Amino acid sequence: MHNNKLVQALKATISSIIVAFFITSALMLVIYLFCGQEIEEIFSLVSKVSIDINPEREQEPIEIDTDDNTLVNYPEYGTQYATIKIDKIDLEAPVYYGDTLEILKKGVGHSSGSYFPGEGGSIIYMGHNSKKMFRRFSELQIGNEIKVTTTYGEYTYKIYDMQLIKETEVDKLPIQKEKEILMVYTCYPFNNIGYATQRYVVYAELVK
Amino acid sequence: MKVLINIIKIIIIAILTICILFLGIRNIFSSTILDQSYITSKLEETNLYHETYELVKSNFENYIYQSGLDEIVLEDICTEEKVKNDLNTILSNIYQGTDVKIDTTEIVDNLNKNIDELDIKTSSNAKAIDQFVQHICDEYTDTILHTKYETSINEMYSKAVDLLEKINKIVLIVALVSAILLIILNIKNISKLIQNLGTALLASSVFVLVAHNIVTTKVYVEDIKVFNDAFSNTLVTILKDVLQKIQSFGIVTLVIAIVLIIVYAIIVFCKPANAKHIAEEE
Repeated sequence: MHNNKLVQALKATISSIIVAFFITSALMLVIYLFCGQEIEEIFSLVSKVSIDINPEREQEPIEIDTDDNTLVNYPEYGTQYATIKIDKIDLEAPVYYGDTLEILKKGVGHSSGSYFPGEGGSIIYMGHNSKKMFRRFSELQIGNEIKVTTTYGEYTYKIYDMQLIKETEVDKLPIQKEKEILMVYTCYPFNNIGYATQRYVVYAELVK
Repeated sequence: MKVLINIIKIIIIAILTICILFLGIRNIFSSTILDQSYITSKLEETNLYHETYELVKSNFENYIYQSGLDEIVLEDICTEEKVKNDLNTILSNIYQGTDVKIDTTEIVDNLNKNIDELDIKTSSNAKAIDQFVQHICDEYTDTILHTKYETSINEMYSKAVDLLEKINKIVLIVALVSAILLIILNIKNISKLIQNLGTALLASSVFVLVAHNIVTTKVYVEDIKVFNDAFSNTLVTILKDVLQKIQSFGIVTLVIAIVLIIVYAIIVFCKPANAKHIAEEE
């Protein structure tokens, strides 16, 4: 008698669980069928703004593949990967991958849309026209050298042109992969008071 | 006939499950991201006012490097109190539908006063200095407001609240009708209502816990970065809190469901007179 009642009680419990799981599965299936793609898109969007900033993770060594002139491991955004040296104006400054205002406070920024030294394309660097950085850019002349020492090699560029462009034209600096060109720009006028609406661009080609 | 009744019961339980899910999640959202006082408390907790003030000052300094002006011009042009008031104004714009613009007159006045004290403004650089002042103001509003998102967030909030209110009314009516239907269907054995309710709660809790697990596995909430560190920190804290509340809701619902299912099992076990009848029903 007791066993019979126990079986009935168990049956009632199990039937509840089965129905509950059936309803949950059905609900999930319906949601997946009707909004699965949208949900995936939301996950993907949130993942894009989810930046892994694990300080314990070590940066893979940056190397250059000489066969196709591309870096094997790219530096992490915001990290220093090179030093720029211009003897003519006694400048030696760190180069960081990225071009945020925070990065420009620390040194020279590398535009993330441009190539890296050694990759054979356009490299775009930028920096403030402060005394520590590019205030003396006006003293540069065609033929002066710019040395970039990266963690994977040393590159020397020779200045072949200087140009003034509008602040809004910075995004139009030519990005190509036919010839290695280093473009370094800063705000102009160098000793201006107020907001600088022009940029002074120095063009240099790879010599070594 | 019995099969048909059972199918109808399952459908009603499924509808009740959706109602429980909606009411639970809606309640969590109403007491968190849709509640201005909750958001204000989180801003205080994560020190957003101070962090934003520091960020504003730091962003101003970036313009100093290229302006050729001495850093002294930025001294005391903006206070932490102003940042706090402006952030609260933005919150009121979102939650109360007000349309108060961020006023930068104080910053302009203080900046011009500092520039005048340096006595560097001439007719040749006046325009550039005015542009510099304007950029400082723009930088301030951008840092505080993230201008381009304000309108869309304001619209989104009022639309979401309107929609939630409408759906809430419908869900309450549907839940009530479902409960009445379940009572009618279980009129011969009213204790089965406990089992049905337990099943609906169990389905809701399993759904919530599985969904919570999927979200936390697919999204690294801790690493979310939006606009700046101060804002991201607050956003992450709020998201984690919401997820925590959703998980708690799932666990509480699960416990209630288990209790109800066990209570019904005990009723079945202890009802000798109805045992046969219940067995037949099962």
